[in-house]
Amino acid sequence: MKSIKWQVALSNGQQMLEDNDFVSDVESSAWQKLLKYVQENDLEITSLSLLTSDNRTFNLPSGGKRPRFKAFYDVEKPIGFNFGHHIGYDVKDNSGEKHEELFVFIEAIYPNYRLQLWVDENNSGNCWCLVNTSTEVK
Amino acid sequence: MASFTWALQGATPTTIDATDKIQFAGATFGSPITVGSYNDSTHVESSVGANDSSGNTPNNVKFISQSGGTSGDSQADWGDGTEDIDAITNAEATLKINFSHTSAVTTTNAIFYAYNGTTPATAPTDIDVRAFEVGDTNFTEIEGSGKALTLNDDTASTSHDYYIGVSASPASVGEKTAFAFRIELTYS
Repeated sequence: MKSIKWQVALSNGQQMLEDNDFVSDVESSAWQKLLKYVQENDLEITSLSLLTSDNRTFNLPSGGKRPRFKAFYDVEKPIGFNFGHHIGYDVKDNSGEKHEELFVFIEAIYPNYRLQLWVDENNSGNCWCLVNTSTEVK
Repeated sequence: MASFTWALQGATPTTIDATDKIQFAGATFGSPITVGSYNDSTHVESSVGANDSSGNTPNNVKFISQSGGTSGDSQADWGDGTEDIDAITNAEATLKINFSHTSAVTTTNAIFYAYNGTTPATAPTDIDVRAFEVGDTNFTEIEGSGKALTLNDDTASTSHDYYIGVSASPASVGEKTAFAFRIELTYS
């Protein structure tokens, strides 16, 4: 059972939640379906969050135009957003250790860097932030 | 649901479980490689020391040179003599690593490397390990995550295969136990 889902706000005001609005299937992942919808309707993602099944929300800086606090007006706005899972798998002679690690990440893209927020899918209480100076988005 | 399946290729593929070892050896299972030389055979050794690939005629890719081939290509011998590594086919590679998912996902940022079994950034102890993805022109020394082999991105699919040639050489005498392999990738 998936325990962490993405949630986006779009430039037309729509809110989209993984598995509610787009569902993964053998043809495509929910995220790929969202990207296709955004492209076909000439929209932009204006915010991206992760929601856990125990009601935690992890938010990236928003590209929205109506933040509640001045501090949110004053900071640089992301020019894009991205989402993915990152998986690591080891072959090693030690049965007492984990051999697979799975994280979900969301990222806010800026002109000269990307701000990433990673959450451990096996323990959604663990979260890390990274600043990646590579601007190449995959 | 995401999952990996690793196999040592050969006449019959041998599944490599997470707790197995990929054994690089001399001519036969368990035989030593001379210091400074590269593997003459490759095997799957179970966590209790059994030769799981016995009878499967496992592939072996042996490093020959880093840039001695055509236009500076690396060279290897997978059993039919020295050749540029970009002539080695999927079926001739050492490893086939399959990543599957119940949904069609794209894969990016895939890397493959060896490390000491404890810290991914730390090279395996006293081993020269080189690898290539089929189609590459040169080996990459894959000792630690900072020197990982970059694997190709893949378009949306429920199944993604990576074909990798890998060769190893001891820098000192003795069995090398601080030695593990790891693959990482992003999917969405």
